[in-house]
Amino acid sequence: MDKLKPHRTGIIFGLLTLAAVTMILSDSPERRLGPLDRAILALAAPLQKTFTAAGRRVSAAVEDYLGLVEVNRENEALRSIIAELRGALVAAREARIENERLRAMLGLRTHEPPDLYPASIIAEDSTGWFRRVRIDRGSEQGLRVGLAVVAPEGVVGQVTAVGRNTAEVLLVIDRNSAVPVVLQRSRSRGIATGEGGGHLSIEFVARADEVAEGDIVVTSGLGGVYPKGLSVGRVIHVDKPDAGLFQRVWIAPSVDFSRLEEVLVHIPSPLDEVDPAFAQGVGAGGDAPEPGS
Amino acid sequence: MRLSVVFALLILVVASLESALGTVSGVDVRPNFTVIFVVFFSHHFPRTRGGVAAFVMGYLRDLLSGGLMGANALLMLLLYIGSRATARKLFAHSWLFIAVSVAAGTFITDAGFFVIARSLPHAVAMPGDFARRSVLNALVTGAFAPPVWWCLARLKYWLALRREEPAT
Repeated sequence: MDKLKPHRTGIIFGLLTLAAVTMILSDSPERRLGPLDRAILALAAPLQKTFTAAGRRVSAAVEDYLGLVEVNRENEALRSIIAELRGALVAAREARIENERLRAMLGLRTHEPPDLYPASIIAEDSTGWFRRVRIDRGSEQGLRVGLAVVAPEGVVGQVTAVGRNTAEVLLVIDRNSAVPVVLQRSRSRGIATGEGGGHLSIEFVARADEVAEGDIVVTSGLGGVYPKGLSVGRVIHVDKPDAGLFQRVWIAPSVDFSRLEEVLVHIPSPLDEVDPAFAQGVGAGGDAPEPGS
Repeated sequence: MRLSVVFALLILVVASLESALGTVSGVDVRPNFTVIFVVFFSHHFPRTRGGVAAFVMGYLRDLLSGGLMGANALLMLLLYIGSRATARKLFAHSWLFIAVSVAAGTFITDAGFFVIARSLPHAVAMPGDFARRSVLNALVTGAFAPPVWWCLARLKYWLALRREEPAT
């Protein structure tokens, strides 16, 4: 042992390097946190909450002061938006009533309202290279990896790692994110990936598909993470080459991520995940039951 | 012992503060306090303890940031070793030199992070404007380095702690 003593530092540094390399190589988009990680996250969560809350108060005070100048102009703009939305609300109510009536006529199962759990954002990626946030809800509140996270405006991201009282959320604008989407008007499907700079893009949209700026993009429900029909964003640019099979579509997200403070975690009910009647039908080797049966 | 406890708490506070900074400021460019701490450790801490502290800081940054697990832990350890090796040769004990060496350390670790992220078997996408943001990160961190360094030195002095073994 005495022979090793002069090399103690070298051995420790070597072991630490080995540990770091192992961590890097075993890293995956969906992280599995160990007991030590969970303990550290639990310890750091109150600090992160405090710093974030304090910082937001300062930012809000500064913004309130600077924003006073713009208030009148913004008020007018908001009034006109409210008037437009009132009209849209009436139309939406009509559509909902019609939808309910048609569903009843067809005998379709009405989807249960999704279980949405509110959570606050307590931290962000400190390196700045990724678009991830940490929320103040974890496994104790029933969260697990793969759950969709939304805001009233639309899709936010998905849970990629879960601690006891905190969870990590990969935002849809991160370059490592992929959301199956559909263009509401043309029904063209694609995968929206984050561009890192606050926008998303859809590659591999067939060149023949009609896509225009302003088109609304919603989740397609494929992939099993995001429920169908959630707003993802609005088309802001279409890159249609003169030749080739595909066009590229750029999207501005519905959610303003720079101002996002609270989110809703979508915990699907077992009914949403697997239809028992369907599962039974498949398990028995028979056909899936008819809708409404 | 007192040094370890105080700095361990400080490290956790700084790591938490760093992860809250993005939420508050809403900008991509931010000071890398971890690098400032690691370069400070390389000058003021015993060799082994400083290296372990650098590794822990990197690990906390990885864990709390939600980035690439292990990358910052490795890079901070390497930065510590590099900074310690060159400390006696390059360090001129001026505030300007502290700022420059911290800025250089920030840029090098950012570049290292980029290389690790791009060379992994599973793809980890990085921003397209990486170089520009790395330079800005380095400049901001360099600007923050002198006051943070001064605070750390005062804290160490206040705790009446001295280097426990000479730098080698």
